[in-house]
Amino acid sequence: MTFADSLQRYSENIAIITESGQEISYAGLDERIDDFAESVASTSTNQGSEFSSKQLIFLSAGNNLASIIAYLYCLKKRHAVMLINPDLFEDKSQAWLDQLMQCYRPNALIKTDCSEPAYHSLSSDPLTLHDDLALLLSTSGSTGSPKQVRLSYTNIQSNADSITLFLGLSQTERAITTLPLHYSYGLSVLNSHLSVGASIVLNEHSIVTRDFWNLFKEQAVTSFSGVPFMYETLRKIRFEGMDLPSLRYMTQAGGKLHSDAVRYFSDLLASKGQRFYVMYGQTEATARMAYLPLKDLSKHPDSIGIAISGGTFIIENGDGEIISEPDKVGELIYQGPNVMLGYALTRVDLKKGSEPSVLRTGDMAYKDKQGLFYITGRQSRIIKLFGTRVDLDDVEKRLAEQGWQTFCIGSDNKLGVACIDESHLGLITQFLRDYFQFHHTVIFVEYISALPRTSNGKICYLDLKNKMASFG
Amino acid sequence: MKKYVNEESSMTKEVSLFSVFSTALDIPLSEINDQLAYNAIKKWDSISHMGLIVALEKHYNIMLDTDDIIDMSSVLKAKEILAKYDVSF
Repeated sequence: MTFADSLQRYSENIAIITESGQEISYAGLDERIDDFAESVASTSTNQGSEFSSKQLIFLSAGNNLASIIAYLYCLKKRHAVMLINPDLFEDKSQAWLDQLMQCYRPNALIKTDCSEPAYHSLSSDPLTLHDDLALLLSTSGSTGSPKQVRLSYTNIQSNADSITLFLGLSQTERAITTLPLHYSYGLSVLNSHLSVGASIVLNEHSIVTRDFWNLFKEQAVTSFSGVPFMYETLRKIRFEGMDLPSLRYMTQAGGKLHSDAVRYFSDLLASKGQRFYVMYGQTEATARMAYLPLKDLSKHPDSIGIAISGGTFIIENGDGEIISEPDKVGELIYQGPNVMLGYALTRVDLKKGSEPSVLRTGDMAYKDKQGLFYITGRQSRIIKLFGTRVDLDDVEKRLAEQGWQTFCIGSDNKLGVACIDESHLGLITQFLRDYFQFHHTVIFVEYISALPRTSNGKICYLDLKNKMASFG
Repeated sequence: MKKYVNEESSMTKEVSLFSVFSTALDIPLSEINDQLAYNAIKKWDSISHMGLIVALEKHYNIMLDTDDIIDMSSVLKAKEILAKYDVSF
């Protein structure tokens, strides 16, 4: 059960304001979902008893009405939906899409280029899907891995409820889309607002355009959500000088924002009676795991705060034992109803239900005496480039597939690739830009004469990082 | 505001501006022209846009305000905006 089943209860509230300014009520939205459902049911391939069973549907998910109708249709009719970046449907990304299709062989694909969603039947192979499976989201963002996070109806609704609680959302809120719909953070804004009868303004303009800010003011938007580089951008465009009387609060997630930026925004917003929320989460936890309470923001801008309602954090040492004392660093573990069912690599995984509901975040952290948590580092080989998760091991694999042996390191907003063959550097750089679409300003490809190794012969990535000119 | 010393020819000044665009957007100099617009090409995205702003500020030793930054939607617009800072082409 999710909010998608009871949109009618908010009847005349405005749910969506489209790109062209059209206002769609909750009742109107529900009608459009039912209309779409009827049109899907009447396609000839869906006639017959097979159709009443749960389907796996791929959805090209953009911040537009067609995508939202299709997404809600899938939730309401209990079809498992995979939200896919619409860019993947462009010609040059065909290889990735083909790989995803081959791994999962979905029953249908919904395209959303037009004002109405377009349903295309694909495979009618019977596919076993667990009843609880609601949503599949990619973890890789950009490295072309078919790995997906499996989320349930309970995951989605419980996280939406926890978020509306700590943000204090009511039906008077009016959000604007600034993040992709296929990204857990972006999706959580939609889910939480639809859960309380609030409105969402659909937008595809970037925050560096006049069109965005005109829309923000015209529609009296009440909140702003962004990843660190968006906040850095706001500072650069001299946000302090902008007059946004309708703004009530801003939220930040998708990586760590520098403390001085946290202070800048929290002070600025406080001076105008507005709120700033620093948040922490992962797709593996549906979206949100923690938030920094407003009262702790100015004194502890480095903290991720406390677990959301229904969730608990545990710090574990290297031997798997719980660390109960404050100020001792260990792995951050999370428990709660928003922890994913598990991962999926192929269609076979989709029949699985819930695996242990404890999430190993992969982040190292400690708790202070007050009970606030602080992240000290990342255990895994993952970095964030402008909010997108990048698995360094995946990058190495893809480069190896092209015939280039490389060793990848990085930090947030900086990817370093070391190669022992100087002649490959140019090709590697081009590939990183074209295939992964990494921004040219964050790619550093270097020649390295010898690879630093540990005593047991493995590559020592830490030493490699220090040896590279762009990192050391 | 520092007055940009107008000693060079219009042609050189244009090339100078186009070079800033070329480097910031990672596009060959030959592909830069007045009509080049934000979002019309993949390479001029919001990330490159901010890199471009920083580069223009450094190159012309000026500080652009919010309106300038969000209005700079094409190379032609950039010329119009820079004119306010006594940078003419």
